[in-house]
Amino acid sequence: MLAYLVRRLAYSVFVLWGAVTIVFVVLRVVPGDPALVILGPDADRAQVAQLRHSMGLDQSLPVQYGHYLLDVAQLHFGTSVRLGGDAMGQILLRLPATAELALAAVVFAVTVGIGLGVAAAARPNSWLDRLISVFTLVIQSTPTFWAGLVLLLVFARQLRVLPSEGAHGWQNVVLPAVTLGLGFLAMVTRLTRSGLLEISHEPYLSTVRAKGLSERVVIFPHAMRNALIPVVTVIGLYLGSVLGGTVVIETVFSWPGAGRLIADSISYRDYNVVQAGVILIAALFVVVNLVVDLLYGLIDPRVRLGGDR
Amino acid sequence: MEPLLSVRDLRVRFGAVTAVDGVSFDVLPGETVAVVGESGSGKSVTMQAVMGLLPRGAEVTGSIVYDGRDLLARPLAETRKLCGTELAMIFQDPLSSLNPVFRVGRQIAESLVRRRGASRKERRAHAVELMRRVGIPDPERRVDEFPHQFSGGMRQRAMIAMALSLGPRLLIADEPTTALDVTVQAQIMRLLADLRRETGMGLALITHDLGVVAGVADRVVLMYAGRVVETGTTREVYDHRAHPYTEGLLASVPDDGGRADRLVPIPGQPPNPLRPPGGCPFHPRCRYVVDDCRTDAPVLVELAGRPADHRAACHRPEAVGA
Repeated sequence: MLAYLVRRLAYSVFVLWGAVTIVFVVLRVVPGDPALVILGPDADRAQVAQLRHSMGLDQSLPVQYGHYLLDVAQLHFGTSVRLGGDAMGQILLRLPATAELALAAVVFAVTVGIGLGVAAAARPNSWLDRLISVFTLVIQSTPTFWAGLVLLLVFARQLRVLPSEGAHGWQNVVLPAVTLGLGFLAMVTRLTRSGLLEISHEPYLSTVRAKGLSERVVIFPHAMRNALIPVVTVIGLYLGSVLGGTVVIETVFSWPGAGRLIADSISYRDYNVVQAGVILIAALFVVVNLVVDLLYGLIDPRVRLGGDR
Repeated sequence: MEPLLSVRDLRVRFGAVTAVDGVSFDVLPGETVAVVGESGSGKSVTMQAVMGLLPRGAEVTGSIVYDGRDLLARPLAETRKLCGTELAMIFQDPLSSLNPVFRVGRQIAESLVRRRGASRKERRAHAVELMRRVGIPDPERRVDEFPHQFSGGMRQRAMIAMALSLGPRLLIADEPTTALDVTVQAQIMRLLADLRRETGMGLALITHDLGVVAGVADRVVLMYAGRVVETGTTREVYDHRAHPYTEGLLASVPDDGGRADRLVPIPGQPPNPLRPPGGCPFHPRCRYVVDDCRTDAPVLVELAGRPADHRAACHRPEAVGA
């Protein structure tokens, strides 16, 4: 178990280094000069050159990369040129709002997804099963930002039942969380359905029936616990895209979270904030996946990690 | 004595396939009845019908009377209530019959918890006690293990413990030793026989192996292609077999003398359930076949000069074993 954790941690460092490097390269490859953005179009050459020098942007890319890696290794993420203050501090300040949104999205997707999956698997090829499968197919083919705009139009503008933006009460989280969770919901639904159908003929379910227990007990917990094994695996993988998705969703719904801050910082060429944000998201992703893998061993006793049997 | 279980003219159809075709037999209280046949003979489907375990879409007719109650005339939910408390069942493959993600003890005590509302502490004590009773060593430790940590024989013992949980009066064992090593098979059969004696429950043993039957069963019911072809007390059927299929099965069981006699297989294959042969279903494989066999299906009748409970479905019972 300990050896497994050590191996996983070493692997995590490698993943983080990859994320750190990619965000560094991408930011410097896209056109746009932070000094120019900060000083505005009226600044003269000398001013720009001086600012570039003070920001270290006049050095060669490998040298910049070296400084950057050293800083990151010491958890120095630099200051935000737009907002002032520590770049990571700015991200962390907005992280709770993002976490609230992501958590709401995951809870929505998992509960509704499992419910729909069970309903579909209960009567395979029934009209309900077909309806659910069309629904998931449509959802999975819909771009998130577009789904968000449609939901806004319908629920905020036409029906006026939910607010369109801001983060003041539970009503505000509904639309962005639903939008963010839709793709995940479709995936959970399909996995739950196929997982349940795959094991529906397992003899151990007959055993439960032979004990005289109801179909409800056959499904919860006997079938579900087995059908959930692949679902849990995918939850871990998908959480990454949920975190990434917050960048788009927070922008569409004006949600004051870390995702929107990253998006804004990209337009302002606020390198340090973008880097801090991406590194934090990558770190969260790594941690979540580790937790999911440990959870996996808890759900399926046959794969106790690095176990003795 | 009133039979504990009385199956009459049971028919089970899955679409165009008739899996069980007019089967009747009784199990008396405390009696061991072996239902013997090849795969596809309908023996397991018959018992699944008794337990209400048939998949959706199965058409069932006839009657299954348990302790005076016709199970087929009542809603399935009523039958389910009897399962576990009155009727219990163990299956062929003990590994796939245990849920891989739950501890063995929890599965053994589940009926007690869900149907009798037992507490956590009672649950554990109950499971340990049952495991001890079926001969699982070190039950205090093994109660917390998972099925994959058990050997095949121990898994089947755990299944038996689970079935005994609420003290059923009839245990249905569907090929309980087929998936086990030969040495373990004998232990499990002995355990079942001992438990039957201790508890006084009836035992319906489904098997394809006549060798297993000889030592434990009071009576045998031989099935072929969804029908009963011969039935009677074990001794009587062994000594005075009256159906060519019984004769074939007995010839294909290794002799207990240990002599290297040649085993004689039954020629041919069991019939295709989608296109069963006309007349007697066994006639294409029968060495005594006459014209009547090809057109007339024989019914199960008493045999001249034999006890009344020895019956066979054959046009020429006198030719068999002659």
